[in-house]
Amino acid sequence: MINFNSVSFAYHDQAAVVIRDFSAQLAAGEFHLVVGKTGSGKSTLLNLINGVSPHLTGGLLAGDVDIFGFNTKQFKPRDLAEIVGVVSQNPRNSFVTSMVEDEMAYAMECLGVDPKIMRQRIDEAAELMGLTEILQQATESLSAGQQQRVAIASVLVNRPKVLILDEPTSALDPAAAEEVLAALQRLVHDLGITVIAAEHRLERILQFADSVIYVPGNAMPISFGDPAAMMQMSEITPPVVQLGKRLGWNPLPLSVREARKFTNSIIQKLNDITQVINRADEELVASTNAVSVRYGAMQALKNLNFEVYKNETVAILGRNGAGKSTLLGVLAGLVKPLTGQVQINSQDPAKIHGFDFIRQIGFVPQEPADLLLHPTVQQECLFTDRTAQLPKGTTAKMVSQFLPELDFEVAPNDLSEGQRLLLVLALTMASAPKLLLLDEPTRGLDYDAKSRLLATLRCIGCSGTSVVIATHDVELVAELNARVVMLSAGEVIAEGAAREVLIDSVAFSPQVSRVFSPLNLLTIEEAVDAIKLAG
Amino acid sequence: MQLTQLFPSQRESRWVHPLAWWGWGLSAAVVAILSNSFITHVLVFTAILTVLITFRSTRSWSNAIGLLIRLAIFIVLFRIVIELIFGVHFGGPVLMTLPVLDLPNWLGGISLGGKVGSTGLVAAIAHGFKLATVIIAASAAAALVPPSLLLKSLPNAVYEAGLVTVIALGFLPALSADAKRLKTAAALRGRPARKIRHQLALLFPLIENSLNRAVTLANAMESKGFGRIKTTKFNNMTVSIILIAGMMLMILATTSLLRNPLSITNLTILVLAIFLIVISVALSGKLKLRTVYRNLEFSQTEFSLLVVAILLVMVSVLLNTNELVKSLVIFGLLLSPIIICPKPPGGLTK
Repeated sequence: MINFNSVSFAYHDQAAVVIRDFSAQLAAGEFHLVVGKTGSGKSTLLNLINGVSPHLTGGLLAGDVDIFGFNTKQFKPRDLAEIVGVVSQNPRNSFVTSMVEDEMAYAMECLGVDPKIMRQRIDEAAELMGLTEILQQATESLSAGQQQRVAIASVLVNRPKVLILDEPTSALDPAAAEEVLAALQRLVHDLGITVIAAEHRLERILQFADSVIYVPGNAMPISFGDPAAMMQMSEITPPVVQLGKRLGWNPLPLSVREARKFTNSIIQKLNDITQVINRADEELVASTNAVSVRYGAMQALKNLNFEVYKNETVAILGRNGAGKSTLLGVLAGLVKPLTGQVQINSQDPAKIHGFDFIRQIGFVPQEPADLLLHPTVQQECLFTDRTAQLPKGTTAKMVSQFLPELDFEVAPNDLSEGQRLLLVLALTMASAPKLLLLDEPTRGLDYDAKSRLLATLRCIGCSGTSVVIATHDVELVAELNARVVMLSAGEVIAEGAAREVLIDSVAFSPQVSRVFSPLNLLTIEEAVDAIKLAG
Repeated sequence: MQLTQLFPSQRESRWVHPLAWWGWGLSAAVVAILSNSFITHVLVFTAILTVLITFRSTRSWSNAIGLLIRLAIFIVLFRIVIELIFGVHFGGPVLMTLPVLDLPNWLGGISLGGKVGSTGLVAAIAHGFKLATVIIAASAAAALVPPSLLLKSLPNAVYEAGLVTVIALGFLPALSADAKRLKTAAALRGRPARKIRHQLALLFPLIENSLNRAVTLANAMESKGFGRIKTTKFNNMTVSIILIAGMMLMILATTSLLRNPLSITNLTILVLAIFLIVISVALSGKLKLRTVYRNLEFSQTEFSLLVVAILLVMVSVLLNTNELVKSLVIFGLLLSPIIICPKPPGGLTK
């Protein structure tokens, strides 16, 4: 049992209170989900549970956090190590050792567990997390999903009563996310472990939650309760809940299964959407011709042919390691293909540099913050004006178009994740590139930031720039109604309109299409319209 | 004796204790120092490379062999350059004549450049190669065992210092990946970081990234209970101080022993240093800082490897036969790990 007793918390350097007067009792052996926008205080709430805040982060804690009888004011995180296990947002950065088995042993070595029983505990945890085959491998060589499971296993060995996870699935493809969530589900149901997870991708995780903690942000009161009740009041909801709210379904469905109860009866009355094929311009913007890329022993791309036409939006889907990022790298001339040709407006991208490059290609990498080099937004804008040889103020205009509320004297690092992405997007679009490439743009974004990104991308898509997005986020692809190219192990396995490819896929279909299967509806708007039409 | 014991490739693969490898490597270094024969150096070098290649694993420092070979080439070339500049022509046919630069008297009156003789050049190559062999022999052990395993066998007194080193080593690849990413990002903004000034601008985000990573790691270690077990009897700090004092005395003793071998004071310091080190290691064993999972065993194999090391030193000091015979004996002994030791786990990829 975890007891929050009128807990308030503030960091030293900020006058603002992050959490104000929060009281709740989280029952043992349940799955608790923390929901909230980025920067709302979700991570702080998680940190409070095992005392990382305030012991390591600093800050002022009022009230008490009691975890199975231990007050975090008196006990440091290290003292609670066999009660609480923590899996951080980026497990790769939290590995102390370099091998899976050693990483699992490390936590036990710290606690002085008898070496004789270590072996057995490692075997059990590996079994539980499906890691038996890879115990002897280097953590670096694993996929993101495997790393996530190693991070969980390496705290499970100490038999914690509580497991805390910060965004366990946001970096994972749908299939890997399902594996991780299934493993967590097993921990709750079979071992009675209390799981507390914060996550943005509610469409993946909500159905597993026994209770929801809704953190609205800005020190507004945190609510805690039954998932359906919390979703009723939350601004942040997955598509299936939004659909339920729009159509007035009661009780509010939290999963596809629950929503099917409402749709099963009306599906016969509804009609398929007739796809308007707005054929893209015939003008080719970028293409790869039989491109192969190899990293060491791994073949990242195999004889890949790929075209982007003017004015179109292409989504590249596929599992982690399918070659999505590599393809973007090839298109931007950053990755040199072993064989084959790449052309951007009949030029080799690897040979375009500086000024010419930003007039041709805009690239927003997985960490958009990498592109920000200056102390203020204003200086970033002036820098782009200079390098792109634009009249002074052009970039700033673009930035205020994407981010009307932005203060230009603020440091880019102080912006929220969503704002930073839009800023980078504006800086990139200022030079009006012919081709815009985005790598995993919605990672770590809340629904709010995502809908702003979506609006911006739609606006870019009809301004003469072709957009290519590599993503796991099927909901985004559905909303964009992009052309989809599905990669697997470096090869194209499916290609076509989102409506055809996504609906045909098991792992990559959006929630709305699952609710209305076998119809070909993709988005909430389409579903609402279809129901209206049918009366 | 069973057949499988004779053929190590049939035995279960495991890591050999790093101390045994260090013994083997250091004895090879001693052999190379004591010998002045070029043939011996070539054979020692070849034997070490052969062992490194035989026991390389995907999990030890994978590029270590390439790094060591590059280091060797650099040392030899450096020695040749020194010879060309400072060397004095003392025999043999003149190969080439460099422009002469006579330094003024107050700089010792040396003349740089001048005639380069074949004798001098050959001697320089041989000397450079000797140096390279010594350095590679002394660092071979580091390439044979991953640093994390070395950490396991460290005495508790230096465990924390060792852990810091291992973590720092793990940070290096991440740091270089970060630097590469930031350089790409600069190019994406339309200004490739070619000039030093532009590269310096990337330093700030690089440091920030590393700090973030360090904080994540520190949080993770704290949450897993790092540094929790503290003993009351002997303070950890005290043990470390005794050890460091012992080490410093050791350095003092060895440097003065090299200058003045027969001094009672020096010998006293040496004995005291050894005493302090032994005490601190013994005390630290009592500090129960942590338990060790699958601690490496020091078995028959490791003892055999140490015996080989002692034999190597004895042969190179005591054996007074034909130089060629002696180097062949040394060569054979150096290659013996191939028969004695089991293969490391992990093997080779493709």
